Amino acid sequence: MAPASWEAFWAGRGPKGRPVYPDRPVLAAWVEAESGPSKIVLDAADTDGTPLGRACVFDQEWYPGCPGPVRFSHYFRTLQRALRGLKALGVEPPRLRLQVLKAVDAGRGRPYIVLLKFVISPEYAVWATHLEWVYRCPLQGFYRLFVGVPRAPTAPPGLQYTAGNAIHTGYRRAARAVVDGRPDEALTEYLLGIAEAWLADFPALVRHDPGQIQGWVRTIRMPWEHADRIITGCRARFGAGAAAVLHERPVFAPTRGLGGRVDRIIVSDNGIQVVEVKTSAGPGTSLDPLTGRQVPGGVQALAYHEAVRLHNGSPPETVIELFDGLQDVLVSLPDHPVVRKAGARPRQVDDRYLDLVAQNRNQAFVAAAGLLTGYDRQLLNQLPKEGHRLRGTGGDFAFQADSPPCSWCPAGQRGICEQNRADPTRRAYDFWLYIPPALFAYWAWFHRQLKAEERLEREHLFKLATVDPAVLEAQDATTLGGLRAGPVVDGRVRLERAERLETRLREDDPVLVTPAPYRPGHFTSVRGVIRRLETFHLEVDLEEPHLPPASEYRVDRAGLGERVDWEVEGLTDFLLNAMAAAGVRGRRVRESELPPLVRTILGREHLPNPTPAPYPLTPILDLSPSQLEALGCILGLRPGELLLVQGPPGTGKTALIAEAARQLFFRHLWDPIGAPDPRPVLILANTHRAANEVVLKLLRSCPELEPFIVRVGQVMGGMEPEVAACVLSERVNLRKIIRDGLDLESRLKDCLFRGAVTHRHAGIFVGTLAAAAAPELQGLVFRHVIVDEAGQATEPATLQALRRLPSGFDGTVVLVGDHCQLPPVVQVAGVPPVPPELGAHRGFRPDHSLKVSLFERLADLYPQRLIRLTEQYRMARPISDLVGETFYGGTLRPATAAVADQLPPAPFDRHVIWVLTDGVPGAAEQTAGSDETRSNPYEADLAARVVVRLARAGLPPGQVGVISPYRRQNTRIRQAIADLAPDLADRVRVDTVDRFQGGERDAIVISLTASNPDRNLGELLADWRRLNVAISRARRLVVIIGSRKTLTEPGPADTPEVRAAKSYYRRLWAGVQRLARAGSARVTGPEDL
Amino acid sequence: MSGDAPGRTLEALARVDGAGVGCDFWLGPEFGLKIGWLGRLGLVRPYRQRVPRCVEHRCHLAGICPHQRRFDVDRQGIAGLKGELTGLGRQVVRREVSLEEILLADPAVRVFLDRLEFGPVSQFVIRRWLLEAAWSEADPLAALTPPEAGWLLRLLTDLGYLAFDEDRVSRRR
Repeated sequence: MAPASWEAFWAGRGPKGRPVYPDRPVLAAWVEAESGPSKIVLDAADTDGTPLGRACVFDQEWYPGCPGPVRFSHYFRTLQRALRGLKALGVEPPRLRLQVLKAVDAGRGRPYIVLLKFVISPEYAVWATHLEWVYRCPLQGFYRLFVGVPRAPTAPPGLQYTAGNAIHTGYRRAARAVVDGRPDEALTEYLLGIAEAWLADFPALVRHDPGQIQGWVRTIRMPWEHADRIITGCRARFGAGAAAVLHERPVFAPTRGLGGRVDRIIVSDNGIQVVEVKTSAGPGTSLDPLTGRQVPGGVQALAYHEAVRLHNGSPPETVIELFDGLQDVLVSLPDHPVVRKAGARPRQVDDRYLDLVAQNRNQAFVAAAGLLTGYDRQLLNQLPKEGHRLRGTGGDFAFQADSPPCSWCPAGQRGICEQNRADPTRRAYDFWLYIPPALFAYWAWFHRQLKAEERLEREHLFKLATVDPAVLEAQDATTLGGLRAGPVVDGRVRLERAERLETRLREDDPVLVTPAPYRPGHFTSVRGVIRRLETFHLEVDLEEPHLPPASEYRVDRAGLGERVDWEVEGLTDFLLNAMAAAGVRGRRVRESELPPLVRTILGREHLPNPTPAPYPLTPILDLSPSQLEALGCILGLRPGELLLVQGPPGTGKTALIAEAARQLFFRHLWDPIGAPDPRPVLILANTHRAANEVVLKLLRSCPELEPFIVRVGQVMGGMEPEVAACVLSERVNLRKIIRDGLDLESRLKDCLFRGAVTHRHAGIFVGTLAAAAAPELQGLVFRHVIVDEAGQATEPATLQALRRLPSGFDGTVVLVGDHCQLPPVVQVAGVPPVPPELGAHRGFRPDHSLKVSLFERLADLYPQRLIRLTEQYRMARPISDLVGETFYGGTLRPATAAVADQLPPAPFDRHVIWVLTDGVPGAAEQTAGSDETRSNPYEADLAARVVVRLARAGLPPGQVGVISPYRRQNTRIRQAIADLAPDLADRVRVDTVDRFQGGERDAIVISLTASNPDRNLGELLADWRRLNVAISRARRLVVIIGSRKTLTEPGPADTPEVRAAKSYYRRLWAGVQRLARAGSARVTGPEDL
Repeated sequence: MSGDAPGRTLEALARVDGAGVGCDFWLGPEFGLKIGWLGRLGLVRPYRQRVPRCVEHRCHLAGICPHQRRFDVDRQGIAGLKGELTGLGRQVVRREVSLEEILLADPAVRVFLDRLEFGPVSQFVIRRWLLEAAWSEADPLAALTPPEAGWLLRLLTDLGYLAFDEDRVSRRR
């Protein structure tokens, strides 16, 4: 409906008494005082805030003069639950965006607007796969989408599944080759697709018992046997008239809040075809009562159909392609059992169709957003009693599956659902009421914050799809527009423009590349990952190496909440495992009945000092005294105990972890292998970089460990070859075998067998925290879990490590990190107050949030369990002393004379230089209002001069680093270097602190940037840990440029956080002065440069 | 790795002899042994079928063993968990044949001793031998699990054939 007509409708100048289909958004605030049990009254406004007027929603879509009620309509009841849920969460008055699909003006004279059908909060993206869950069982949707109940470890997939997957993937690649005009390459692409599927599934397949694998010969051969048939079919189907075949495209409909990845979209002269490919009729199928055929994927296909329809302006032809390895069956969406049962007509977009889409989508939303229960234990407990269909939300059973999938529902598997039909003996009644108050408060408090982050992620696509890209680029700096694309080579595309790329996007960020004039969410968007980011161009590895031709492209940060998903699951897994380990049924569990490690995490365990144990082996690496002390304490841990190891910069955390892993593996060298026996060691790091470093250290310090190390995950770009060789598929040369294509039956069988044996014998697994649920770890438990970079991981992320402990958390946990360096990176979306059950007695400060790592909280709570490494291998003595005295209570010292006695690089004769800019004309910062826009041209120029002096005096540019807190300042510095010395442009790393953590240089130049009469530090320097990390990157020289007064003197607007930071900075200044008196530092003015 | 592994093995065999039937669920906790290991040396005949119920052979743990249900009721996954002495096993108990002789005749033990003739080897390397053997069913070490291999190494050490120095294993005779 056009805007003018919409306005006229609300003003009462539209058709009277006859429903219209506006498909327009309104912002609706609940007028609770005038609402009743069967009537909701709303104040409606347009999206720009212009009031539209009052509207009502009645039960059963009633309105004055209606021909009859719409029985089983969900809209009223679901909206009522949503509004009540918002009120319970403190939103006052409760307000929502509604996408109005159908409405009527039932007034005679004055307007009387009744909303009949709508999508609730379409800005909240619900994925099509989630819609399937809700269709199957709304209660399952609640458990999975809100609570985050993870699947119990399942048996590894059968080879039949992989064979089907291989055919599917090969088919996709072959089809692309045919459509792209390369039919002769179809077979090659098909074979590459098989390789892709095998590589993806291999980590899961190796979990099989090696003895079983011997009988799989026939199934292994299947994808190759079907090659000819598949290629012939592709050529026939996609040969003539197909303009484009788009694979695995992300789509999002901003007016429906529906998104997902479409398997295939075919654009031809005949229109658009949407294809949802299914390779087996597994759980999640619908039975066609007429044909008896099991057909999966109906609801998913429906969601994609709707999204593409809205983008395209007319309904596409949508089919489900059911491929079971032997034949290919196409089921048109209108003929799918889901649609036929609903009596819906997708092509005509009738009311039943709208209801089918909206009911599942709205129920998914209220479930996922926590509006059904919030964190009220009574409501959480009460909800399952509504039955698996959640009667309280209303709804037509014709729009839901006949029976719930209890046999594979995670809540049923974990024994917490009281509606479990598959195994009534595993029903749990009143589960939520039996949780000890502190444990519930712990779970709820973190869960609420994660869900708030998740909400930001779910609304991110809506923002991309509806806000002007120029505004996004200026505001968020995670959008780049106006880019021109080069050719796609080996899946990588170079995008560039004349304007600088000032962005918060980073290498390894997932992104969407969208051609103009479309917005992200249109099916022309392609997902990718940034591999290189320079001043005027970036390079992106595309998931699908085909970009639609366009004059311009935009790149937007994608990010579909995957990190938050696994953190929520890890947090809920912790809760469920804690309750299961208590072993109590039928009554509330007492906190004292929880396992010791859980009580430790909750902060109520009385922990003694750690007891060192002797090393079974003389350490191979030359460890410092504090490293040896920490090693002894790690070896002395008993099951259920935890240790914290703080590693200040350069103190050799990785070496310690490697040596500990070696010693622990040796201790268990002759233990049983194979499930259910625990494996020796699991090491999880916050980043891939750190995980790779641990593997490298292990390999180089003790090559004999090589056969027993598994790098969890897939081979990634930038991984050292030695590390890549520890990935399971690489150990058995799987890639090469598939590529050769010779004697595949026996070679693949052998590959699988060797992989399974290798997996069974492996004793040290290394991965990231996100990989705690990776296929090769499923079903495994470990005696010892070590977490690296624990200071940078959120508390829920660190809990991932506990998922892999034996039952009852009966293993040891070592957290290695440093809470004096950078904290976890989170989008703080409103922090709820710390509940009374938690509190200072459990290590929760009043300002606690996700930014406080578990490591930091436990370090404060259990200082007796914290071992600090004190010898560092990086910084010359004066720098070490400065960092140690300022940030580590004077406990840091160089490990060797060689480290201590490093000389500053020419032309400087001191290790620490502070170039003061106080009182210098033109040295003040510049800002365009927001903190993000700070820069300081004067400091940029000085930094460039220092860099050039160092380079001209012989220091290799790669040994110089420049750090400032702000992107804009870094851009200025790069430009200043380029202006002063073009030969040095792009050879000196200039970056923010966050991106420098883990690195080191001979010389570090720091531009403080903040320089103003109000002594306003800005958000970034308000965290003193940034300056610790910045200074401690330097081995031989650190040059600080900036205003001492802004950094150290009180300002009128200083917050408590800033005051705390300034006290550290005053200590820093005092340290510099002390060093200056001793001849190791110099405080100077800009004139000396 | 030091102790009296041969002595404890002989003691275990004597107990099996006295009880008539040995079982992993008391041999393991009390002696660190499994029926399968003794079976591989020919000292015990593991029951693959018609595994006797605990009450039938009057096991000393009947009535208090948490695993009894498997043998008496479930009757699933119990093949090889119980066994009786063979003639050779009785000879060893009566000291008519030495345990040392039997060990030295075992193909897996021979592999260990032969490979260690070339010099000290890290235990990690020995462990790697098991991994590589598992890839090939024909290798004498293929049938060994790590715990069993560890037991054999302890026996050889206590019999004076091997010496351990941290992770290094060397041949003494």
